[in-house]
Amino acid sequence: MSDVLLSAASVMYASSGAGFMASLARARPSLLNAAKLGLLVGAAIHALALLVRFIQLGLPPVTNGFEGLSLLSLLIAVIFLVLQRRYPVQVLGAFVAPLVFLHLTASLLFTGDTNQIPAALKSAYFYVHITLAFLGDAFLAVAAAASVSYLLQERKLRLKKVDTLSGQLPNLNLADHIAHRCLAVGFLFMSLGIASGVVYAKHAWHAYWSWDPKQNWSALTWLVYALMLHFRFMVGWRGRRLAWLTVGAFALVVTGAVVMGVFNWGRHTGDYDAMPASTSSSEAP
Amino acid sequence: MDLVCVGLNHRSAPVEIREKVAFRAERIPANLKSLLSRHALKEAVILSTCNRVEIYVRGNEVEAAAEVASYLHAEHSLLPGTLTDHLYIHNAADALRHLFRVASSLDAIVVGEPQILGQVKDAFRLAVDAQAVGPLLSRVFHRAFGVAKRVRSETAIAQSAVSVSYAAVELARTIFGNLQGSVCLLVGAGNMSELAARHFVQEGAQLWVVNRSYERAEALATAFGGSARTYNDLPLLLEKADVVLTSTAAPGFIVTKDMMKGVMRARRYNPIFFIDISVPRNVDPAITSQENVYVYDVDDLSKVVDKNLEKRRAEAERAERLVLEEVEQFKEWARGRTAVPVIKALRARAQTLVEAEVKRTLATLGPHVTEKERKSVTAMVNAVVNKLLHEPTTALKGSTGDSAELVDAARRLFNLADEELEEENGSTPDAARSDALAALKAADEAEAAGAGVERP
Repeated sequence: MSDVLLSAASVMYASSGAGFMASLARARPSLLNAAKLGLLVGAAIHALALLVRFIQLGLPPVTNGFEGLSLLSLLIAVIFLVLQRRYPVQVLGAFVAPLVFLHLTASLLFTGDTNQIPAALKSAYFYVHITLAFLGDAFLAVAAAASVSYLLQERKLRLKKVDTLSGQLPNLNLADHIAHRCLAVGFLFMSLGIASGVVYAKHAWHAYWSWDPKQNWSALTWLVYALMLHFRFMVGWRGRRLAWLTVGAFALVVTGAVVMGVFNWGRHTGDYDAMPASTSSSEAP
Repeated sequence: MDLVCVGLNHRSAPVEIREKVAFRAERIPANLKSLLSRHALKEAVILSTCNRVEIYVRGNEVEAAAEVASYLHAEHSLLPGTLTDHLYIHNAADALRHLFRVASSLDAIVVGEPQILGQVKDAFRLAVDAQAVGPLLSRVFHRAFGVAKRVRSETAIAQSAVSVSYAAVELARTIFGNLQGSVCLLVGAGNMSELAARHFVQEGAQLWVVNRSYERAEALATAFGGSARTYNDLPLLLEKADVVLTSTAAPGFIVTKDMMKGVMRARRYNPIFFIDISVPRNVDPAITSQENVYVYDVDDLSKVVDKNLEKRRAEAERAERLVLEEVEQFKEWARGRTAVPVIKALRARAQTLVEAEVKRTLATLGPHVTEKERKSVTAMVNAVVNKLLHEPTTALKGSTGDSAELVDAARRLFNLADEELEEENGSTPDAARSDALAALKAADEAEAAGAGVERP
């Protein structure tokens, strides 16, 4: 049941993304509205699917990293839908919707057997941790989308190739503002996510930090974002350079999620069962 | 559809002719009145702008066009035939398409410029106030406004600037968004930069003016509602300004790479937009190597304008298709509408007959008829008539394609005279519009009542 709904949501996201891109290229308000509606409907179906799964499972539907991607994609969609009500940035959907689609599709393709639920996941700490971390990732994703739009617009202005597309894209100041706000909020959630993760690790594995690849990766990503924000606030970096950094740093986030997931590196993915919460053994760095 | 449009525009007539035929707004109500006093003309709207004079009327194709043409000659004291080569005459669907194109600014000199829609609206309003608009023109013009709105929202025809000075404003918007409260610095003076400065002030920007001579700067600042600054403070001013318009006669760069290095650091790399309208150029293009510095010179702006014009032409093609689509839809509506007066007349005729016949029958039956009998006789006759008329009414109302034939047939079959079909003239547009609806509704009610009678 939830699988069917998730596939339906994924189809909606794909068509919404196509609609956003087409409207961006051809400046059609009606197309834009249709794409927005598609995203909204997709998100509604998606939320319903997760709810169904929640009820069946009796636990939040994030039994492994890839199933988590599904929740992450929903969060991105919702954040964007809220954002575009506050700012005239509907066209950012052209960058956000494909991102949402890819996340959900990756989740659908790679989430294997979800019936075995590791004992370590049956903990409230875990859900706090994962929610905060995903919220952070979702805001950072939107920041990256706004930065892509900024870079496109900036390039057109710099090369003096202003055209229909530049009329559609948000103006530089707005794109910069949104990227910046999402960056700040995303970084906040990310920090909270890591902090709660550390607490959870102590609870589950009796070690605050066990140097597993995913933890290290998170720490690295966090450091990159921290430096970026530092340069923005303290040194006054902005514009193109910061936009590239925002996109690059988000690539780190995605790499973390996907690569670690595919290769089952570390505790964050496969080996919960090998290490039940009760044993504190092993796992030296 | 008895719609006729007679007129001339910038393509069909030179300005020497157009100025002779132009109507003065304050005289238009009187003009409309005398126009409508002519036999063949039933409704009229006069549209008179500097690029066109057009008269839209309801009336028979041949007669109405001739009447309007003769009126134009008479009113403007022109020798008969003066306008013959310049006037165009459009009938029915062609007239409709013409009006839709005019209102959507597809027939303008610069396609997509929006003023014409306001002018058409004013013309219509004048005609409404002068009670020169009836059901047809009211409907036609309301639709024209709808079409213009659709063209504006569904095509990009009016989206981009087609003048150099306005292109500068639009580029600034691409960087800063809303220009309200932004600072525009005018360095030197010249026609084009002054025009652009005016646009920026209109958009809500603050204007600062500097000039080699402070007095000149003050004079310009007063003229545009800005404030004068001293020329030697230029680097400091650049730290605060968002848009910089330069057009001095200086022989070399007055904004240099070295200067901008410090300026950008001081403004914390907030974007700055130079519009360099001077030749030789005042702003070193090399400063764009710095983050968030944008420089456009005259040629760059002209290129933007050229591209926008090209885009408008492409969008105009889409708009034309949209107009044709709307004309088709309107034709459908007009066909349906011709049925309404016929249905109305048919119903009225039947009602008169029923009343007369019932009266006569009751009279022959004598005084001993009870109230109940009287009622049932009336009900019976009504039921028969309603049942008989039900099918033809439905056919007339529901017909689309060949309704004109059906309507004609109905007229001939029931021998409905033209007077019975005549709609009242000179009613207000709202009344005129609701007229058609009211007629349809009346027919529906009559039918429902008929159904009620036959049930017991």
